[in-house]
Amino acid sequence: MKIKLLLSASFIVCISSFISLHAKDKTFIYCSEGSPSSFNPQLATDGTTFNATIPVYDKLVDFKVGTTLVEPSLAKEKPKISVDGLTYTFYLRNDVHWHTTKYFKPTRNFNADDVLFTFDRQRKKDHPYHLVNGGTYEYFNSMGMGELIKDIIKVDDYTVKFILTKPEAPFLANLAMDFASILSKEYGDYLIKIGKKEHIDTEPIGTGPFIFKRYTKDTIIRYEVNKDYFEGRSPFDQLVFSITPDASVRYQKLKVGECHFAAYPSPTDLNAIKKDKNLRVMEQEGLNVGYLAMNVDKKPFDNRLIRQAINHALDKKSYITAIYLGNARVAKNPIPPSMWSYNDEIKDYEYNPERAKKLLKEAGYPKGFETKLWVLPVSRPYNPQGKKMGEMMQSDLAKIGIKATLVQYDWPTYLEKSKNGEHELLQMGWTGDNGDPDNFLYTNLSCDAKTGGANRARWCNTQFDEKLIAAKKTDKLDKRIVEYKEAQKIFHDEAPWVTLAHSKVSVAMSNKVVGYKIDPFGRDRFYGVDLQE
Amino acid sequence: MNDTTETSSLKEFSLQFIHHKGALLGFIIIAFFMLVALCANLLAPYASDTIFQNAFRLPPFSEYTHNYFILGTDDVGRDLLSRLIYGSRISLGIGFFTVVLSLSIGGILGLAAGYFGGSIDSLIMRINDIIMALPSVLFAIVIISVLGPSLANTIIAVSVAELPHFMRLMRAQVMAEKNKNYVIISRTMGASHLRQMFTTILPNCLAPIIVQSALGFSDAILCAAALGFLGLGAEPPIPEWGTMLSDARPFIESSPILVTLPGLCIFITVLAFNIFGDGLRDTFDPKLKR
Amino acid sequence: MFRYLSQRIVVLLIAFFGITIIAFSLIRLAPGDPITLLLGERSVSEELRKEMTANLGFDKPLITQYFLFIYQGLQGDLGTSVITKRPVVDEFFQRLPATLELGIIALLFAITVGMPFGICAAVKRNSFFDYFTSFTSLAGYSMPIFWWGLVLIIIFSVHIHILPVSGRMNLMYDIEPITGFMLIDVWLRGEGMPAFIDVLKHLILPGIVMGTLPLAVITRMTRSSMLEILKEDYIRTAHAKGLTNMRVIGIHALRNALIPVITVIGLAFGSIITGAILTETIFSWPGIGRWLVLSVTQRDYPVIQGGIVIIASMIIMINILVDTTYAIVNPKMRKQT
Repeated sequence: MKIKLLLSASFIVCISSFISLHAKDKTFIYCSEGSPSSFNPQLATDGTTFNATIPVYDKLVDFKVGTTLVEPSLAKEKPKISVDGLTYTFYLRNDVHWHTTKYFKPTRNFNADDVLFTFDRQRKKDHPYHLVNGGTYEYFNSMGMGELIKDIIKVDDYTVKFILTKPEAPFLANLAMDFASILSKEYGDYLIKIGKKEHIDTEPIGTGPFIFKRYTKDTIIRYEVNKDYFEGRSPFDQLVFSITPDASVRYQKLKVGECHFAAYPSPTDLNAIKKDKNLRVMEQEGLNVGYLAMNVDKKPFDNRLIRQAINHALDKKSYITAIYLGNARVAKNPIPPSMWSYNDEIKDYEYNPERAKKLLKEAGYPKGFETKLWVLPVSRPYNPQGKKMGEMMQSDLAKIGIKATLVQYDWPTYLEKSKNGEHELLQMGWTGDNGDPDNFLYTNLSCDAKTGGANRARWCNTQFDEKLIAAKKTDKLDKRIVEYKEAQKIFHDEAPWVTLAHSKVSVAMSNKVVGYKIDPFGRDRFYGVDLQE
Repeated sequence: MNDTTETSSLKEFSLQFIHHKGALLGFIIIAFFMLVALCANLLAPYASDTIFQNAFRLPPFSEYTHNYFILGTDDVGRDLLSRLIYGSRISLGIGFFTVVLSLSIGGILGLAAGYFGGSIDSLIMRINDIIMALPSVLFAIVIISVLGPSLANTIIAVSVAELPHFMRLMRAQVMAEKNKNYVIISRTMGASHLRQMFTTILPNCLAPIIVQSALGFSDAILCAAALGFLGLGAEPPIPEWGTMLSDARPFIESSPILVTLPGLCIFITVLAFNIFGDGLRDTFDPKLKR
Repeated sequence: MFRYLSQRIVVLLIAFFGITIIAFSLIRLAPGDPITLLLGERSVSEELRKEMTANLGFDKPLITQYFLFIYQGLQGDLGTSVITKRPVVDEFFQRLPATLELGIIALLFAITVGMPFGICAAVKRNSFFDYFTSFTSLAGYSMPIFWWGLVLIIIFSVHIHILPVSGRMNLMYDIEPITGFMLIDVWLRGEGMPAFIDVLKHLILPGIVMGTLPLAVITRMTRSSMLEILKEDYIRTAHAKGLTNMRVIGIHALRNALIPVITVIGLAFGSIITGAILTETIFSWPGIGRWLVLSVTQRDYPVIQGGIVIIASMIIMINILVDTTYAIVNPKMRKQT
């Protein structure tokens, strides 16, 4: 059914008046899905906030747009890494200006002090900003950066040394993540002087391609172009985030030209958008995996045969149709296919209830058993409708005699209880942070992660662990690939998860938009984008 | 009171009730839903949680692999009609248990407050004040997040939110009755507090309580459905109407029937209970009617 | 009179402290905390988690936290949201105008439609019109408003698309709030008529949805209080004096019938908050209802306890106001309590 939602004469009138008002300015309007929680990525864990801070800030190194490759940004070149892998020396650019705004006028360029300021705030308890606005730094802490970084030394104004406690191959990729965005020390000092420390997270000063101008809660974020941006000025004079929580409304706005770009189009609208001549959809496999964790600490899931039986019992293809509406592919490994070291030789457990029954019998449960299945209470890219999927899984499991009762909790309860291992079968998933397989495998399946709680299968396999640690210690890519491929093999045979799906990330935009590259991490980055009339 | 007057008053009551067309209509609809709920397993073509593989969101009157779906299927491939039929069990059940729970607890508290007065009264009334000052749905949401969303906890949360109605009503009734002659007489004859409260006063307060119970049914069904709509209702795959409606929201444009019908069921049931309750009140209290 | 009022106030203050305890403790009984939520699928070591909790001040004994909450609350500081890092009081009053604007429109709708219908129904008792009004108001009373909202969206936005689906105004207007009431701000910002109409259009559906329950209550209330008044002696006298029907109803009856109706409107505030939670969820309205529900699912303790306390004090204040009006209007009431 084709539906038009918002069209009315008055809208057309106001659009045209708007355009005539700002005819001189080249404005890019992005229909975003929600309000950022703050304007400092160090405090956030959600993509919505990161999207709003990306135009403002830069990092030492960054991901090459559209890829997971790390390239220098505020650093002049890739850092020098010592032979033991413990010291990273960065040489900084000296031509980077801080933003000048109504609320702050910088007197100096970006330098090593800013790098120290940024990381010290997050890692040093006695830093004047450590406790400002909560001071929990979830991302920094969950990546283990506090324990990993032994010290950061300013060699001179444009040279900084990071000293680590242990060799960690993914470290450089970590520095390309949003929480490593560099903030201005001069601005921090200024705010201390005027007694408004907490403004550092709501009125941002950065070095990025756009300057923060104004934010009206739940409504709009405005940015102005940074004419002095060190990589060159963006063709836009203004960048506007129009906050529109409802996906179908975003689509309608895109259609009538109220925005040029829409975040997270609803899967139900995708076909209509694809058919529209003025619009375009870009899709890419996202860096994510949805899975069903089986708690190996609980009977009977300590038995490998049972875990394999469940792998055979679930009809993953039907979930792709019903839950992801086709915008996903069946997962056979815990890492997505676009990631290096993906082991394509592994053959997935096929949907085969008969085989599953046989395995159950072999394991000593010919009549099946009763268990509980926890359903994901929130919509995530890796699993948009956990409850629905749970209902389908329940029916699949019933076919081999496993009677699963569905359990639902709200999100904080779900996280808390599953962290403590109170569950039996649990829907979960993961979205990659830095494009490194370590970030999937070690974070979710290592013995360390079992203690921390993120290893929801509570599966600790020494052989598997050894491979991951070996891969951490070397920065030779081919060696790491070998280790990870073998690790995936062990994972497959032991089957602590049922890997369900890797969902596609899609964005919708007007045909006028050129130069946009879809980001594997799901961020929307508009530097390098232009509008073609 | 002897037997003959009781039967005749009952007879009179039924007569008046039947003459009240609205009340009768409400009663008939309720009876219908109750019948559906009781005979759900006979009426429903399929079980409420049977998933027909790949039969996602079929339109009404469709056939798929030799199965016929009168109202079509939902987004995971279950027969909508069967779910609606079994849903009546859930909603009426929620209504029933909520009323029983809040009536018994609220009623006893109200009875005690009205009968004893003094400090017991003020203590109970302060509890009442507190519950009244909290917006009921918000209060229920917080209770649910403490207890976890499930059918049983929905009933508990809604019952707590409903408590004040019964508490206040009972208290007011008891206060009106307790100084009447028959109570004073029984007191002088040495009846115990319990005996006075439950056998002397209580039966004479029943009429408004019965009315409130009918209205409480409708409030409970509505409140529980609202919780279901906010995603805090019964655990899947229980076919609770509010949850069904909420789950179908993404498909409001392509399959509006999935949203419309569960809502309609809630509406009609709640309306029936309200009409019925209104009718009961009119019959019990001819003063209001004339 | 004074004694009665001071008694009432003391009683309500006791209730108020009960509420602060419930608002503070209940949500802390729920599993999970704001840090769990912010971490999501990630995890940190137990040590780090303790440190993070300490940074937020949630490691102190509950009693200390409670008294801190009360102590700061009395000074007008209800803490800072864990999620948005902004003061709870600021966030509340930034969102309140959106809810109030919607609530006022809803009540206006309820009053302007409900009172005339109620009066006419009372005057033309037992007519078809009376039955129709009674039934409709009962239907409104029984309406699951979340469903009603969706049905209206399907009809008016999806099928005949004359009204917008959600939001407060078309975002093409870049209006920075001054009062927070968009109907006023469009004029203050010099946007003029088209913007005003746009805002009004966005208010229609949510206004109807939120106004449905008050409409039903007001209609019924007007009808029944009007019926009582029409039986009173002075109305009969007025009739006997030969005043026209219109004048009797218009001047004598209506004025007296208004009193109970106004108290109902006053008491509707609590149910407006309840209505707001559902209505704002359906229409993505940036008001306090949606904000509170979200804060429960985010375990944002300061927001939940602060929000509940502000709302409860508003309800209590309105209760005192209503009680006072009653006491003034009807001296007999003072003896009961």
